[in-house]
Amino acid sequence: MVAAKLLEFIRYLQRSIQYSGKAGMVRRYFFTNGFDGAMSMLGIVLGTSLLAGADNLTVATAGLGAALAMFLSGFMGTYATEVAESKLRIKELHDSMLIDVEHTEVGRAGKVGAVIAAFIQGLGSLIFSLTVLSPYLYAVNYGLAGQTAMLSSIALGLVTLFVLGASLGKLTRQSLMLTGAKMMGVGLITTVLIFVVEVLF
Amino acid sequence: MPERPEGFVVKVVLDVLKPHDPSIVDFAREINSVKNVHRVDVSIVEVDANTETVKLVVEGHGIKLEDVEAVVKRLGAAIHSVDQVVVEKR
Repeated sequence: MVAAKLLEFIRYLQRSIQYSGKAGMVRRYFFTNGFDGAMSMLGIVLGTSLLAGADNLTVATAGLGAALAMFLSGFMGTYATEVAESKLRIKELHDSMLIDVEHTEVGRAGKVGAVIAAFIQGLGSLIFSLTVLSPYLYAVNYGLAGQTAMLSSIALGLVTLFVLGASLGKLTRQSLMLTGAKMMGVGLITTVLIFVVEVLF
Repeated sequence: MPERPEGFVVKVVLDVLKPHDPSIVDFAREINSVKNVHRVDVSIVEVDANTETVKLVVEGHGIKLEDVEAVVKRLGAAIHSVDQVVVEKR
């Protein structure tokens, strides 16, 4: 009974995202924000951990705060944009068809689709930023040397960026290795730049 | 009191104006879920910036036009005209 209700709800969400015309966009949002989340967290982790006297708890707390802020900022930013887009779409449809489209499944899908898009966008950055931060979360709870946590975080960040790039390559039918390597290369350049800036200042 | 004419609607052809989403595949599936409908054929007639005009052929046994119309409306589309109806005896 519960499983059937859940399945029905999932189908409703799938239908809403299809009918709202946001299916392709949600996929793009997920990857864009996953990339943003992973890169930002890499920067926060490196920047904070290289500070003199910064312990694992400081890095983990700063990282968690940033991850939460990125999730909420992503959610609200996308929600506001997509609700406005949906309203415009409904108005254009109304002008073209001269009927009330707002109170149909297409109209409702526009509103539900905006919430789903916003949630996926926020979730993309939250999942990948927490992945990069996870060595520090482990270090705080179970104990791990600061340097090991930092190196693990960098390694996880680069692997996450590679996986994101490769997944994007698969979806857009490009070379998985090439798109993965490009994303990882950007992460590597960022890491080196942060180290250089930290050493100079 | 005159008797209601006998006959089951087995086919209707409708001229429908719909948004691009849902796609004609989803649109056809939704119409096919209407009671007594066994076959749905949707063809694009004209594509505009925000909408498309489709020829909707619905086949079945004892099709209720109002049921089909309700689903069409629910999907944000509008029936422009009923172009053909086929009725059979039981």
